[in-house]
Amino acid sequence: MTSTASAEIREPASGRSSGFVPTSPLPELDHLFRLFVLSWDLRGTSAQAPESTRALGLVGALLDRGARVAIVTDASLGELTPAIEATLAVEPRRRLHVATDSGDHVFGFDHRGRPIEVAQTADRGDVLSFMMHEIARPLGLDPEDVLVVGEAYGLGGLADILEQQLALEAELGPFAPPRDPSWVVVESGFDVAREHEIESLLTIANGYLGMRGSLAEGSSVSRPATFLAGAFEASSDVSPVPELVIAPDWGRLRFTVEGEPFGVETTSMERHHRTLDLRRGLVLRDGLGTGPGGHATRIRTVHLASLANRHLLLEAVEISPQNFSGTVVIDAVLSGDVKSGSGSSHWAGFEPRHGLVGPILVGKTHGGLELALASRTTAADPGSLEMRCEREVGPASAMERCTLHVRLGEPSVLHRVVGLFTSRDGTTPVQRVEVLERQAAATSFDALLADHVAAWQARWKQSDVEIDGAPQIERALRFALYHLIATVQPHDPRCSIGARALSGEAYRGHVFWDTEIFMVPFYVHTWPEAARTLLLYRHLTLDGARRKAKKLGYEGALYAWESADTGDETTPEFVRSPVGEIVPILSGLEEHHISADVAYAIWAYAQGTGDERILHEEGAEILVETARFWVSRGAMKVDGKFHIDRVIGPDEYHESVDDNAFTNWMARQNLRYAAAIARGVGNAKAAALGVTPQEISHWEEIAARMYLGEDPRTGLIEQHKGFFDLEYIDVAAYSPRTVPIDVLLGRERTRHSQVVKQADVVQLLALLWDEFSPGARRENFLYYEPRTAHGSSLSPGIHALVAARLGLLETAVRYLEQTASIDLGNNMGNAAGGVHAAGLGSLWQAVAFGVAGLRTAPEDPETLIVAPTLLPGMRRVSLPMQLRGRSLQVHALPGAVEVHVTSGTAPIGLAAPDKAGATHTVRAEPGRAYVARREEEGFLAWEEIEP
Amino acid sequence: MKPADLAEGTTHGAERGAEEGPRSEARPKRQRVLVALNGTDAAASQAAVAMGRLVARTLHEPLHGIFASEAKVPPGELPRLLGMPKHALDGVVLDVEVGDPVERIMAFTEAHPTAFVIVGAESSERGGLGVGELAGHTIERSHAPVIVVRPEERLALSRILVPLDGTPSTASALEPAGALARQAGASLDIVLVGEAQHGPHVEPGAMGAPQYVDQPHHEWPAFSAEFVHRFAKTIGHCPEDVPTRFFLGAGAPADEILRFAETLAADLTVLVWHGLRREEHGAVFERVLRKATCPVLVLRCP
Repeated sequence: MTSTASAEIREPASGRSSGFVPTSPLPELDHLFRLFVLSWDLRGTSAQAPESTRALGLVGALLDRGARVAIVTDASLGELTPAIEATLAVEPRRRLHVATDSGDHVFGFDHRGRPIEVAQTADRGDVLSFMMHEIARPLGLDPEDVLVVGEAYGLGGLADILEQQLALEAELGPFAPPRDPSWVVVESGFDVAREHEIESLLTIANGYLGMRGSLAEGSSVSRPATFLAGAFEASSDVSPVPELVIAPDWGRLRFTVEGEPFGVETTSMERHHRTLDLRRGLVLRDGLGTGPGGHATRIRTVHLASLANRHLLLEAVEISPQNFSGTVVIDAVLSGDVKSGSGSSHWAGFEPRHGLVGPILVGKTHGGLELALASRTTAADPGSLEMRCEREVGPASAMERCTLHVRLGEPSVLHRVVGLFTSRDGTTPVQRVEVLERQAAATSFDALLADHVAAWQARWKQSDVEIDGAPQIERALRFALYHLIATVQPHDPRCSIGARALSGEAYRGHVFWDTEIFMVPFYVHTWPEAARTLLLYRHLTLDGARRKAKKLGYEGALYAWESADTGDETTPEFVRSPVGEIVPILSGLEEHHISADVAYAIWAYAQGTGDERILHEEGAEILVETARFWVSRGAMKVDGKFHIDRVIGPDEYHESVDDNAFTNWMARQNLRYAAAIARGVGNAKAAALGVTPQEISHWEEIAARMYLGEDPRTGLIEQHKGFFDLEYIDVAAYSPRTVPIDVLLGRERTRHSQVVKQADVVQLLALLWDEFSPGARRENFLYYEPRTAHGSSLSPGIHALVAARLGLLETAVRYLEQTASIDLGNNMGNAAGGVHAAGLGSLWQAVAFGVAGLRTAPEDPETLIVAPTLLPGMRRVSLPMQLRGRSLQVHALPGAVEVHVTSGTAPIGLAAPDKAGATHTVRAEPGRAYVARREEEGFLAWEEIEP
Repeated sequence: MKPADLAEGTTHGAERGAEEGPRSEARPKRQRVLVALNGTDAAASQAAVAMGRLVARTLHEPLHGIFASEAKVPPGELPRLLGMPKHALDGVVLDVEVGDPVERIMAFTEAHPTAFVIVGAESSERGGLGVGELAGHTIERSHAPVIVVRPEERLALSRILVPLDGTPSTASALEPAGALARQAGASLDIVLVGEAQHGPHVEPGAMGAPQYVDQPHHEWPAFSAEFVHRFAKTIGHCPEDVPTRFFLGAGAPADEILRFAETLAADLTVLVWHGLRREEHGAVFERVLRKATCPVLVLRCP
């Protein structure tokens, strides 16, 4: 179904030999190329000659738009460099390669725009081979993405071709697919088997809502769903649980071409691509197909949920008849005919209306949530389009039916603006959505789109991670950050993030420790406002945690293992396993580390942001109540130690265990944090909660006497009491496997073995790194890693993090790649129910905290420890980081680490470990940059450099 | 719809076997159920005829019996020749031919739309597939679905076991099994077997048991629903109204399939075969075929 046409360009017959294989005629320039290999023949002129300057300027424009360009020239680097420096900005140079001296040397450009030799090649053919193998293939570029221009065109002809490419991109406008392959996820064709996971991957979201990337016109397997963040209704399970509300389907577009429906199953598709544009936060579709009547039509669409105004949803459609002039009908539908995966219809009823600017669908859920959804479809250029739109309403739908007269070869463009408000936003959703539609009607579609793109640009500026030398990891990380940015509502503490974000119905939107431990760190260091809001969700649900603790006979607050809107426990008690067993689910009853995880996240947030306000009020209350829970949860025993029995740690293969190390260590931290806050900034709040000095002392005593499971002889921490006596099973002997290891071994054998489901003690190492000696970190990792089966998506990323910090490079690479493929690996069906949000967060942590080696100093949160470990193949890792009101840009390089304090009002400490185990520190001033050069196993003292 | 069963069956399907009137485009296309009559193993023939009657009655299609030998045999002599009671073949449209039995069966299926070929497994277990030469060669050469039945097996069509390997290519062969289940009012039990030292299938759209089971009470129902939807419904075209259950096995695939067949009291086990015997999938196929204790429906992978 996809075009596989070659993309090389034929040279004129009289042209000189270039070494490139000419294969196809010029008309194939009608699509956008992503990699350009350009012969740059100066022909005796200088690189600053007008012709060269014009061509280089166009190269710069292409680089700005994300294209990769390789210039192949007879000239030397020295001859070309002045022109490059004069014409190309530093950032786009990173996508440029220059092969000088007729292809003898290939140079790339570093983060400062300086040339660095990346390969020695023999000739021009060798350069092409290098570009295909080292650039095109790792980036997943198809041959049709590559344009090779031979020298016969000269710089003038070359410039004309580049200009043509830029003109084509301008002509395509918002429908232009991104040129940079490291910023896209492309799904080509249509595969009924993979459609559900594709819908998850291509989700568009803005924290207020998320819509799966279903085909607009639907298909026999489509499962469209729009989730309203934080809004829950009862499921239709035998034992109903809260599940995210499925909003009416607003993205439905039906196309009828000369009386025949256009769709992937009814139309013979010659070309069909769906592209998630990570940078702009939107989904593009390009379909070229011929209906049964022989009408060939090209339809391009854009779908997005605005990040600038979260109540706005935008769609654009371009229809281009390829072999006819005639009639196309577009139905833009708001449909309440939706059900959840559990089979529940959340909506009690609908009242479709004719609004002032378009149809409105008003609905009310069984739980009383009111929603108003308005739509307005218009011609992009009313003067050039013969179109009439009529409104139709049904019992549970409202629709605009737009009939267009389309002309052969002329694209017709429509814009659709949909507004959505609910009663969660205020008391009058209908009036608010009408006001919004009127305001949007007074603004151009391009302006609404530009606002959205600008909002995404602002987020990427704070978040984007560049990994030179590992393009697949880099792209996976951008995919991860896209979903993390898209799924958080930074202003509404009623919303947290479910296990599958806003991309799928699995896990029902329930909130786990995934949020605080795996995702919040990303927000703390890139979007502190969002992190704070997520933590305030735990304050809003504190009463639910109090109710759970009381129900189980404890004091204080025990957070729900699975939380929804009220904070009450929503974990079911039983499940029927696919091997036919009825299995009790104990996590809701025993997995209590969740309370300490929340406490840890609050502390880490305050340390990372310097936001003490939260510790005065909400954070203090959470810390006090969770500390009280731990006091009641355990008991002092005859050994003089405080023990916590009958729990489940992160390793859920072992239930009802005593003294799970992760739980006990984290509970100790919880008690320490509570004591510190109650004696410090939160003392007023603690006093208001009835905390006495005696109670604080009691917390401190319990923390001091917590049983920690350390074996003083070996340095190992026993995962839980009796773990060391369990059967050893060589997990590697069961690899690879097509079923989780607990299914292979059976539940009983698994729980009586040392097989670990996911990082448990290793998770502890990652979170409390500075609590352990270097020897203990290493010994524990080497002990537990071979015993861990990674039956949870939360596990590989944490192993990558710890392995990178320990300098176990190959192990780190393996786990990093595993983490990167959790959702993007396309043969596991893993993502059909939604993306793995915690896995996405762990990928960022593995790179930021592991590879880049960043963490705040335990004794001084005003100091950032920088101890990067570049993994094999990586030439540079660059990432921004927010730390206590400062913005930093960190560049981990093979021989050094650079830190640029890009904003802030006060210095921040930087510390890099030297080879003796001590640290070099510097007070880094805002606006200045520093470098620590690597020497053997450590770093030399910091030096200030030019920013 | 009630499950089809010998005890409560009606017979109109078999009696309507002979086609009536001239061919017409307006008439619905009929498919035949063909029983291979084995001159060397009376018990195998009797089992095949019994299964054939059940299937034909279920589908409301005519039942044909084919017998081929080197010398011409009068049709009326067949029951005696096959060691059957005199009226054992009443209601069966008989095709008595001269030639190689397998060749004649293939010629029949090519000439007539054939829903199923039913052949009895021989007691001698001769032939490479362990079900006798006639059954073995019929399976190897037929592109029509083949049901192999053993004389001692209980015949019913209430529960049909469908082992899948999680690849779209295998699932794409399932349509006849779904249609049979629908007609029989049977339920489908889908089984996926996971194993160690085996990587995931690389075929696009393939799906194994989830590598990550973050929370089993969420993951397993979601996975089961997705698996059944993807392979049984979307690709296998099993009708929506056929009750379907999903099971996950772990271990040696053939042994797990046999275990599930016994545990779930399957009346029919459906095997999709790629036509190869020496590769891994072929080994699983052959072992299940040899050891099955219920009839086996063999569908060739397209």
